[in-house]
Amino acid sequence: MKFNSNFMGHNGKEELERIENEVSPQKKNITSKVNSPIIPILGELSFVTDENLYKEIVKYLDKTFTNKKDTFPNNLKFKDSVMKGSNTYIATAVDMYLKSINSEYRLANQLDLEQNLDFTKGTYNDSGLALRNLVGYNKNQAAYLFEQIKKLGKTEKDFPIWFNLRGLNLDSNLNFNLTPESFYKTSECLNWQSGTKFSKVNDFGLPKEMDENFRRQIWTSNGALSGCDLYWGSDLSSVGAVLSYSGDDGRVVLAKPRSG
Amino acid sequence: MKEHKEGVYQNSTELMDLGGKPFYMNDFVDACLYGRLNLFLQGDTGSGKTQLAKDAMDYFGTTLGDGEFAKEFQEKFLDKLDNKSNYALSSVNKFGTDKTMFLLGRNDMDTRELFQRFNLGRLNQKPKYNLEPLVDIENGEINYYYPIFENGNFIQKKLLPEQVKRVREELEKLAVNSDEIRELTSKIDTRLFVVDELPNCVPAVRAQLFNLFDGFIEINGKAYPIGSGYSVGIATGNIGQKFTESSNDIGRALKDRMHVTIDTDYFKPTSWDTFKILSTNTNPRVDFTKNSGGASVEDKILKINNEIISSEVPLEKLVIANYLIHGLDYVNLDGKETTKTKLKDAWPSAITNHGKGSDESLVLPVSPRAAKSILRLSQAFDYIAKEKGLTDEQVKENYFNSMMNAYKFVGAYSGILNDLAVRENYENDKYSALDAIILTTKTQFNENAGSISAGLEMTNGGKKSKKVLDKFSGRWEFMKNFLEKAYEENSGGLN
Repeated sequence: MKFNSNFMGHNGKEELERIENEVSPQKKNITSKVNSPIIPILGELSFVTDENLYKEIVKYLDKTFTNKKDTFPNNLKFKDSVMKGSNTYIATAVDMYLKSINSEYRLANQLDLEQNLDFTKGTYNDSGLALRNLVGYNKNQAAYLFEQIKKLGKTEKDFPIWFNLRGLNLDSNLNFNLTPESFYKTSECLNWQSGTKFSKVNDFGLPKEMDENFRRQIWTSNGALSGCDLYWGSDLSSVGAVLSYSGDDGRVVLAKPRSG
Repeated sequence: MKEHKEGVYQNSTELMDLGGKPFYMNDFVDACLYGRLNLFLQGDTGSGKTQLAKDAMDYFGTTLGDGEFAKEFQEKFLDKLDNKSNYALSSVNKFGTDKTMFLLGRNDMDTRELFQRFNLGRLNQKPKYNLEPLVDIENGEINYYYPIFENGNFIQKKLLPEQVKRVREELEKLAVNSDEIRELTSKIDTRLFVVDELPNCVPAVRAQLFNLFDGFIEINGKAYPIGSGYSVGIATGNIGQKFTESSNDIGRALKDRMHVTIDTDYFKPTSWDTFKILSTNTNPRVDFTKNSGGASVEDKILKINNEIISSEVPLEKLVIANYLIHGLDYVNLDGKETTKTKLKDAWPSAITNHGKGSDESLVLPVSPRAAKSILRLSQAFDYIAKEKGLTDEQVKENYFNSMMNAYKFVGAYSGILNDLAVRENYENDKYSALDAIILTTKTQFNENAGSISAGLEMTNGGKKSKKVLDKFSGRWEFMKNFLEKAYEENSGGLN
């Protein structure tokens, strides 16, 4: 039984050759210092590869968000020398923890992730929130967040708005609260047709212009508040309906905040 | 098919888009007819679903075009019949060339009656003599006598036991009962059944109707095929969200018989449509006397159906169908890989950690039977897209979208969704939940399409590649198995 090996626009011969010639990606081998829970990293980006830090994070989550084990610690595990699992809440809470201990590292924002897409290949990384309307899924959390920026002069006309998870604060009801560090900005790309291809990103890491000739895609939805993540070092997903969803391929990525 | 668009039913709300070509409600009816897929129109009273079904009947040459019979009947029993009952009766009585049957869901219905008539001629075969059984009061034995005229006297003569046996056998062959004087009518050629307000029927009647949807009628323990190879059903009704629940009898039965379900309330006509409808006609009843104006396109529909069922299904669609059957069956419970099928009733409650909130806990895999419906509907969509102007190449580029749209409309009301999760996370909107699953599926295929094409190339006689096979794990394990089997077959079992 012979098959046509051209599948969804991919040429079988070329793909076979590409895979055969693939070299195993050299993941950064991050060595931890024994006495410090802070990640010493060799590059700009890092996963949580220190088991001590992982334990500290879990301790913080347990203490800060009591009775939320299904959302936080139950979604995390330390396996194969790395912390596995991530969701919108975990990523935000990890950033809160790093801030609380005055770490020089914080949660990587979308622009940080864009600097080294190969590093996160094969994983997904929560980095932001998309506020599009007040009627779709997660509308209560959307309204809560909107009330805060409304006081700062924003209206529904400014939708869709991107929020970096870094710099947000979660309360015990898992509502997102702005802090002086919070970054948010109207981002039209969040309302592009789902699956739109792009190549260049803007100065906060979001797709700048459509590019049909490029493979990277942005996925959009009509939810009120959606979780956003970089998916496998390639696509930008802004469709997360269940903000507590976590999978084995989820990684919290840390970065040294850039100046400014 | 231009003539299909000229029905009485008007609704310009888009249900889907394929290669830039919008699909409307009547396109879906066409697609179901082309693919010979039973369609359930779920919706509130007055939403136009009966009118939509009536338009479909006109494709098969409904003989009520001039409305004379219906008009006559309506005038005679105006105060006793509602218009649907009127139509049902007139339809039954106009058996001529009409290849449709309109049935109003009623509890006193016996659908078998619609397919039979009495042949009184068979009554003449009744035998002239019968045996007279008499009981011997001495020993209780039954003896049989037959009448003869002998020596000027009329006497009863006793039969020997072997004679009794032989005579009785012959008489029984001739004897007829009320069932046997019936024979099938031309209604056995019906192409399209429309059952209005199906949920109103009691289960016994529904069971009969479901047989019609399965393409046969059972009479006296014998199944007769209907429509000479092509028969299809459209049912309407309003049973809300609950009918997919397993405890609901009609839900299970519907899932088995109705291949495609569309919520007509969800895709209600636009304000422009209703403006036009209301400005031209304020009669709140479905107009059964008015023909939609289109000529009978029965031959054309049969021809298209034949083309669809005989054409080769593209490999890309088969891979997608396999993903829906096997890929969506995968579940990871804290590192332990298993399937939703194996979890049985423990799904989705057993998923407490990583898969919670993902499609692992939101949707079950489709059954192979549902996968066939999806493939058939997708093929019909492609046919209609070509009618709307897409080239073969453009249709090919949209195979994935075509399959996903078919999945959406076959799957939404088929009972595969986790109703609780849909209520909590998608505001009880099944279509939105399916959209989210489709988005994930698209991402999955975008990520893996390159590896799939490499795998297919490998099976075509290349070297078995561990690197390629290792690309498929977790929910893609099925693809690895498929490629390994295909490779073995193509290499003659040597690897």
